Amino acid sequence: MINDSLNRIWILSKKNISLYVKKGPVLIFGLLFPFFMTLSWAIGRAIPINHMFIGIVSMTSFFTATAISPVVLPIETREKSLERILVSPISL
Amino acid sequence: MTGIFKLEDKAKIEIFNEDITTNLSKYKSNFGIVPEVSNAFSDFTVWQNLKFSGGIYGFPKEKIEKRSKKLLEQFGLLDKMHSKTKALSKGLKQRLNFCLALLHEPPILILDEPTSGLDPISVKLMRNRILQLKKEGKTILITTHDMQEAQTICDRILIMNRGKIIADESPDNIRERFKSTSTILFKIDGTLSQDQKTSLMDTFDSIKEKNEYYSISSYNILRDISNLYHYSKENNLQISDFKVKETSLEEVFIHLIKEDSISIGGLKK
Repeated sequence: MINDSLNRIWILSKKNISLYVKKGPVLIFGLLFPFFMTLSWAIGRAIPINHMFIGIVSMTSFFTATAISPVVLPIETREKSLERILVSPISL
Repeated sequence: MTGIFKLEDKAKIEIFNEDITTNLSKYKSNFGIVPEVSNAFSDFTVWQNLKFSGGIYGFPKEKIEKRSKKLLEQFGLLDKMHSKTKALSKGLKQRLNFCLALLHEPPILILDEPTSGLDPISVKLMRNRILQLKKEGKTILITTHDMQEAQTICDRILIMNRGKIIADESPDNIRERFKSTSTILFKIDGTLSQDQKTSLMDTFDSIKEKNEYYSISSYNILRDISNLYHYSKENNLQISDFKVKETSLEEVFIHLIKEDSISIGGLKK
């Protein structure tokens, strides 16, 4: 049961990654914005590279996750593909 | 039933003698849904859409591939399997919708206007496949405004007006019930004077004139043909091109909707 649910979560995530990560708003707010934000904060400070890396990864994850939702929902509602997900046997 | 809309408090859904109201998600794989407008992911290819659907329904990879290829072949989409969905025509998109709905082999199919706006080849293909699925024992629920389609495919027809069921019968029974409203079509040779026209209109209540033809909606076909014969004889009118048109399901539909709307005061006679 849990395996099934995890498998379905993975399939939905894979779909979102392949369809929406390359969309403009996600690229700008999810990848470019955190990258340059971290960079502007790091310039002029003696921060070890491993700390920088962790910072960029966590900022990118946070901003990508928040930037992707406003992209996914309007597109899927417009294309009616959200309906297709709602009628499939996934637990909400 | 599909889980998109919330049920009212006292509403209950039973499928195969089981109450599915409380645990709808458990029964969702019993349904295959074909919407009127494609709901496949437009940026995915045909193959990716099928793979995604199969995965969501919990099928193993090999089974998805085998079943997808079979369906693509049946619906003539095999050469389009690597095309993006957004690049497909409406007919091809609808064929893909059928493939997606049938992928998990559901016992119940819900088809929303499955042939609306399609080219004749796609319509024929869809209708044949629906009839084939019916033969295989699937329960098929179709919503359609195409009465020809309903007449060809359905065993039972429910006509709805403003959310209320106003007829629930087999197509033959519905037509049988309204056989009395057949139409008599005829032409009258020569030009009629205004007086002759007025007299004709006064004699037959439901008579209408269109493109040189006169039509009479008849509730008693034998009586009206006999009346017309006597009337033409008495008034020296030469009737030609005489036809009797049996009521189609489309006319029954219009009749029922009008009747219901008049009874609830929404339409004037």
